[in-house]
Amino acid sequence: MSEMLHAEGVTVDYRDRQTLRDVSLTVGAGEILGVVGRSGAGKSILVRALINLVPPPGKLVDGEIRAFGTDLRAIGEAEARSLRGARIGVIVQNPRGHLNPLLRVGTQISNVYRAHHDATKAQARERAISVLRDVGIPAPEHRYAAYPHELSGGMAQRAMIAMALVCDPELLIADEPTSGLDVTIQDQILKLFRRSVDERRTGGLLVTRDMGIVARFCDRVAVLHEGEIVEQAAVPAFFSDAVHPVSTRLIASASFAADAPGPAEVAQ
Amino acid sequence: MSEPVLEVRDLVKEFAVGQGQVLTAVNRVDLQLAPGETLALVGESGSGKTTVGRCVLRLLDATGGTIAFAGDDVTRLAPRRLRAFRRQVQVVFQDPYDSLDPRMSVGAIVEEALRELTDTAAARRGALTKELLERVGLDPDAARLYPHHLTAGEQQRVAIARAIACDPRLLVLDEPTSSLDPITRSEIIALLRSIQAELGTAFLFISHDLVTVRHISHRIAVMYLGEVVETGPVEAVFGRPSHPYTRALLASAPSIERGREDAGISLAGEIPSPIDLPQGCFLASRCPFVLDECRAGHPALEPVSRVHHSRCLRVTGHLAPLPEAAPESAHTTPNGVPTGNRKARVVDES
Repeated sequence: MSEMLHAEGVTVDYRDRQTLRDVSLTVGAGEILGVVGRSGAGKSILVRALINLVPPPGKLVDGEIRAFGTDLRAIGEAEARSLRGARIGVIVQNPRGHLNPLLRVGTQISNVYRAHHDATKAQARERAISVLRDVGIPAPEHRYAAYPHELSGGMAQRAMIAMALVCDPELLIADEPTSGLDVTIQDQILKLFRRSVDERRTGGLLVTRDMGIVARFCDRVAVLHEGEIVEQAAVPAFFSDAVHPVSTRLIASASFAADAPGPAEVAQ
Repeated sequence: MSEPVLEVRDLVKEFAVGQGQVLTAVNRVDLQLAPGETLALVGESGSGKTTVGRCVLRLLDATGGTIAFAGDDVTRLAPRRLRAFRRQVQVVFQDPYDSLDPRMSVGAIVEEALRELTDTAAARRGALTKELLERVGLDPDAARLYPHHLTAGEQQRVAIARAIACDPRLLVLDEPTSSLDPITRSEIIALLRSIQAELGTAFLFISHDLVTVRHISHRIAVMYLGEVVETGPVEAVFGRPSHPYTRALLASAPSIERGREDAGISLAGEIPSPIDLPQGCFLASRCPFVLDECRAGHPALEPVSRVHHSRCLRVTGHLAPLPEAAPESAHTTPNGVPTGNRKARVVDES
């Protein structure tokens, strides 16, 4: 399996505290790696580190990050920018905060497409509308002209997802892309993600706190705890054989089964 | 069932949205809640579940219907009686940080509830505050801290301590665990269950998270477009979901037990506008089992068993029954627990 993403020994300092310690992971073509952990485990920092965009005062102090074989820390910002958005799609948390309030949603999506493709405005518009439809936005021709404040939270979130998908990225890194969305919409979006990975042999990294999503959509899972990966396993095996206490508590806390160790037991 | 704590009948809440148009957020909802019981209101955004909770709390005034609580109709309580009402009905919201005053210490937050909502003597309040913090699993010394010193889970414990300070008969919990990580969520659910066992508080638990609902509720009411479309004991609704909406909701929720398997049922399109409600069944435009007749008459909530009700003409015997062996029930054991079937990946065609 060819590697879409290869990270080794990634370490991030935040002032005098280490928030990520020696994190190594890979994402192969045709697979989705799930990253799980409690709040504060370092999941969102990891997403930033993997695209070499750690927000200051955090600092990526050590480690190697290769996307499609290219060392992201060795190339210049211009080259990195041509990768991000085009070959690497990124979905961050808090969609509304990442949409420009002064530009129409469709224009923002078109702009991403035109930044990486030699396309006319009309072609970019057509492409943007088709992606908006893919992520389940009704009447995409009308929503194309909407401003971010005219969209509901769920709609804005889907617009962000559309923006990450508009260039058909080969690697999609998504930080809780569907948290807060209704389950029927979540199901639709994650199926789209899974299908794209399967059919186009792309790679995906999915940060989530929903163990059901891991079971349903991921091939492998990495458990992050206090900045370190404490367990990594293939998905069916993980749910039967996980050994780290954080893993087993995460699994128990998400079980539907009435006879599973209930919340009381999980809470100890 | 013993005498209900709360009895909602025919509750309607409309909002004027300009140009003479009316948005119907809650549409003739009936609910009952017994002491020590948890009723979950489940549904997607726009289903009206939060609006029901706010009407019960009298944070919103109902347009129609009655809300009986301890012999009074909440919808008609005079303003001067609201304070007495609030000594018996409390609330915990989704975002604990937003619901705590950042400039008050944890101790002051809990003590304020004791001062305003109970007859506790001033001299006793400090000690009682510490007892309440201990009761919700916090160090009593946390009284000196401020909300921003605490994790989200600890903040939610403070919100719970404040809510139970007056020993309410009814607690409205509006997505209290939705912003928490799964382990913290389990801890909070365990805490709420132990509080309910100890104090006999009735919970109206509003959530879109089916795993949480499964672990805390006794009964469930599934809402769609302002209406209750299915209601019954949690084992019945999860184990033998009858309404196509409930079935789709359960099928869409990914679960460890079902793994890779695609449960099949999905809804087409979007929830219709609550301003321009359809004639017949509200789900008709999205339902995979729709018949022509479904678009004509509006279905009533009718029994499928003594305790289990559904609002679907094909479930309640008025039209041809739904196809047997729907995908999700085929993988459900008799006691309603989805089995651990793990098939090879199904590449979805939808």
